[in-house]
Amino acid sequence: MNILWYEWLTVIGLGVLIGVTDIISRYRDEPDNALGTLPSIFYLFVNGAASALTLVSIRAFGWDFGLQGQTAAWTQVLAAGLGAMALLRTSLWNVRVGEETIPIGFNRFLDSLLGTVDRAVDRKRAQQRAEAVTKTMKNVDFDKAAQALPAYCFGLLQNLSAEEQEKFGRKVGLLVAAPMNNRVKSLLLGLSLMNLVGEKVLETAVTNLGADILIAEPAPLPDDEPRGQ
Amino acid sequence: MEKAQQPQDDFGTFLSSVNRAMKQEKNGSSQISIRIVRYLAHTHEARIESIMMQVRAPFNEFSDGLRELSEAGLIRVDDEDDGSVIELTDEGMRWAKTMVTIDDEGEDL
Repeated sequence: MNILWYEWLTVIGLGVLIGVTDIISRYRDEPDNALGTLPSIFYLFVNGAASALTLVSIRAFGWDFGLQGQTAAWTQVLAAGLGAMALLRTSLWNVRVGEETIPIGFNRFLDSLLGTVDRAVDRKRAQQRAEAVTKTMKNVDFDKAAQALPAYCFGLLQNLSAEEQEKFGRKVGLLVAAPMNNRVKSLLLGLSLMNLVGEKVLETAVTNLGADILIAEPAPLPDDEPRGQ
Repeated sequence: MEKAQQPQDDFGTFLSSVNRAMKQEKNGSSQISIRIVRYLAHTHEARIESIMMQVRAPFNEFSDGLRELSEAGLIRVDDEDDGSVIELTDEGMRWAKTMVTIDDEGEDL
């Protein structure tokens, strides 16, 4: 069994690429953030390793798919890369426990790994999101922004479904009538908007709307020192 | 009804929805909704009876509050044989966290 370096590279690359596609499709709004978490990297490693192991198995058993030479070698590489993906995502049989049917197979392992990725990404993004929202919505006046800011963001996006808009309208309606501090309302508005339109669009919208949605007179600084500008 | 004639522009549906939601907000159900979210902030999910005990609201207001939260995508209602379980969605959880980390004066706790 002889596997050349570029064959290793290709088969591992295929496995990793499929893993990357999985994660990107799961976290469309901020895929780069999601890919940077440790569980995501482990998930990609598992995908790459599974592809490599499949290639080793194919070569060890001598499955040449009826081909010869370089064609057989590359077919084996492709089969390993894509076959590992299928193998990892398949449940081999189902076990019934009471009323529940539990699938048994590698997909259980992959699902639990994706669950860990979900939690890690959510933790990481929650922190980033909280910081970004606090910064972006700092001086936003909820009463002024409640309708103008989402409408402007949706106008920028242009493709938000009617269903999402309807749901968002409910949220804003709830916030408007809620007995809460305006700062909390602004933060919640910003959080929900960020989920839909992303950090950059929200930032751009707040900047563009400027004074129309900002608190008229910001609270004076507690110290007596002259301000820089 | 008017729903068949949904606005086709980029944010018309949103504005109609806000207006509709604000018209419905006359019975104080959003106060109940916020109390439900605050309660769930600590437990993430709870049986409907437990929430009712804690929130202490008239049934129709409580039920309006739940409906409002569900329509806003902040909670999920899982109906089981022995009752219903109310669970915060991911977004509801974020709202809840924000609410409990900032006090009524708007200061971070």
